[in-house]
Amino acid sequence: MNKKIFILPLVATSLFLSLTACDRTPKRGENELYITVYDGGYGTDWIDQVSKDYEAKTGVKVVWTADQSILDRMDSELENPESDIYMSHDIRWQEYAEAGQLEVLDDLYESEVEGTGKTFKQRLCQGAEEVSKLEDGHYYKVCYTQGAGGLVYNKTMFDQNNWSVPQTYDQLVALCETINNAHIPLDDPGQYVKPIGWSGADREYYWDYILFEWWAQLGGAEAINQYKAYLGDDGKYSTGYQVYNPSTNHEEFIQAYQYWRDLIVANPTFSNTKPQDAKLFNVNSMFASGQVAMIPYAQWAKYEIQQNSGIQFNFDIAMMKTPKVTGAKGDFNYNVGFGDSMVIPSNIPDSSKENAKDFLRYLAGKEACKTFVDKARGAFLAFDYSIVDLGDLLNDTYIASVYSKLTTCTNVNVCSMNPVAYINSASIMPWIGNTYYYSKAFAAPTNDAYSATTVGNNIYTTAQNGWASWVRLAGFGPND
Amino acid sequence: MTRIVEQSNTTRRPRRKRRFLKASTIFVIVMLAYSVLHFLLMWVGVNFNSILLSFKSYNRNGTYSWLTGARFFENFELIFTNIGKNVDNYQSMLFSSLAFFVVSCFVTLPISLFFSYFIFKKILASGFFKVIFFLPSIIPLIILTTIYSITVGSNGPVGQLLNAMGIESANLFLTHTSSSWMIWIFCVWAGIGYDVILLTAGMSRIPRDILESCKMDGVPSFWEFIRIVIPLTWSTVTTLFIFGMMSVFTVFLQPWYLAPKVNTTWTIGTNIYFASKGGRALNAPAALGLFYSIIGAPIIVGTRALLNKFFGEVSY
Repeated sequence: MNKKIFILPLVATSLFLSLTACDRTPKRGENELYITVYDGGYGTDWIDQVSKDYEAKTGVKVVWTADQSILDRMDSELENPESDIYMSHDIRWQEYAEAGQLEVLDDLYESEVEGTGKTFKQRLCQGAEEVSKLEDGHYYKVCYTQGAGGLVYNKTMFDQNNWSVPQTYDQLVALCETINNAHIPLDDPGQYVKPIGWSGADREYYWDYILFEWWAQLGGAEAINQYKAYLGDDGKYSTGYQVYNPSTNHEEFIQAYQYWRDLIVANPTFSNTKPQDAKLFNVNSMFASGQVAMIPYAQWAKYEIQQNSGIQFNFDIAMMKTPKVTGAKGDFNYNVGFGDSMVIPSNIPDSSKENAKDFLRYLAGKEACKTFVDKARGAFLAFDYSIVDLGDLLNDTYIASVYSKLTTCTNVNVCSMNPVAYINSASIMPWIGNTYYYSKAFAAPTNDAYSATTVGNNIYTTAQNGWASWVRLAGFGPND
Repeated sequence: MTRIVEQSNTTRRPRRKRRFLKASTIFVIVMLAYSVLHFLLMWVGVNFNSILLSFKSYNRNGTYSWLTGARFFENFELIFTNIGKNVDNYQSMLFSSLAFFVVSCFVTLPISLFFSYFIFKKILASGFFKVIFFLPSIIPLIILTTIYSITVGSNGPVGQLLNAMGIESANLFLTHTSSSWMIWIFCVWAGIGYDVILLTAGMSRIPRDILESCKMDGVPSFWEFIRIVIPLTWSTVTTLFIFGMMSVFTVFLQPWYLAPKVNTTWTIGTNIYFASKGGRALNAPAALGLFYSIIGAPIIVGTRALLNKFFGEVSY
């Protein structure tokens, strides 16, 4: 009898706790807004400040969470949303939208943004609108940031040594030789400043930011746009692998890779020691302590390098426009992370949806746009900054250089709205199958497997062999 | 009279109510409930759903439809089509997977048996070795692989030793051959502890009388190990051998964590993992998993039956 007295309440309590633990959905008040942001290179200072500003303006309390594991939980989050807005890279928004899990944002896009005299749609930066709606014509996401990638350099070191920022590829090669020949000593005996530091162990893809711009320079924006359509020469999904043909559609991409090889593989002294094995932390520390003059990075460089290395810059940095290769069709900026998204789940109360839309509208305003640049130290939201007065922020050499790149170059991105591409996003990308060659090519400079010709042919063969199944997985037939 | 009194007493005694469930039964049910539910949900449910998925097609609105008629085996047809078009990839995937059978069953297991015997014989600091061997088994894989790659990397102690020997440690995880060796070495290092714990537990059950009898008969340690210890722990050895065989399918994260740039080292499991990751079209990887299970299950069950015939049933 005594046992029974104890066991039954124990079981009941356990069950009750288990069931209550399942319901993680916040009990939302009408004047509350829950936001989850990916905890990455933009930091959290910006969301904290913007939230405070928004709360002071509207009275709506913003509860934000920064989370690195949000992508792993996204499927379950949208089933039972803890937040009213999710901001992250790699959100598979097209699939969620097709499944009815995202709120339609058409009314947000047509609404006016206070203090700008423009609608939300008009406030978007170049290219953002077309990658935010599905074939059904409805908007389901808002682009998060407009990225800039390229070589970030130690401006103070450049100024002290009278090194000019290279305008052409040949000047870049010459600059690297000059830096090597300068033999600027470091604290370690026998060590001197190297031209470029890069991490082959876990960030070799940062080279994409330069290589893609050479690709655009060689082929123009139309080459990138043709590639990301993933349609064959006959306009069909089923022959989309033809965009990888190294003799025709992908020729400029392979040429760009050859330029990279000529710069880095052919000149191993231009890089830090054993970059193929270098971790990001080590390379960031090298740059932050002045051991390397340049580093391939993206807009989050200033925040992330200091945060990651634990060393505060005691010099100015800037991002250069990617030096032009022979026959370049202009200056281009690869919008790093242009596929990053801000989405509102459909499965939240109407009042929360309205609050969420209002917050996104607030983000498109001048004040929030400026705050983001300031607090994220040089990253820009995916809105038109031509009407935003950045004021003294442009005295920061890094912010000014990123701003210049965004506003004076032709912006390109590789976000595709082709279902074959977004359903198979782990396989279909410029480096098909997510296979990079930078580290391997550097480690084995004479190995023909990593030559431009072989890599081009391998990419094409892989695309040809895999395409039929990728088309099938996207729900198309063999002749669509 | 007496009979009347007895009857009267019987009628007055309160009848005990029959309990629907005994307290001990409730206790057992409560204690087992979580495990059983977990098993039903995470093993039976997941695998059953996986089998169903392999006969469905993916719709872009996030749902799946049954394949019917001539399309019923479409996902399996796709496997053969892909194998036909990517023979080299499938060959390397199969080789990488089957290599773990050799590594687990014919390298890790014999080494573990050897070390277990030493620990069982209580060599100097055997308890310490037991902890050292088991340590990798309780550390998360991501931490273990990170420690390993840093240790053998160009700045790590082993890496610097390799550099001094003329081996470029910075490139160890960049080529197929060196990456494969590094992954196999890792798996041996990380796998020994688990085997050693089970084997020493099995050996500790061997009756002392038998071992003392061996000692009195002057049986050398080597023959004691071969003719007494191994047969008496054969059921544990068989179990570990089967686990080793299953590693062909279960090893999937090690190649990815250690050599992400060399996808020719990826196993069947790694490929299924990546086919499932980042998308919702899970029908193709589900079919691939079922396809390999159909091939692998009879081989594993057959091997177990064969191994059980080596030595007779031993009970002590």
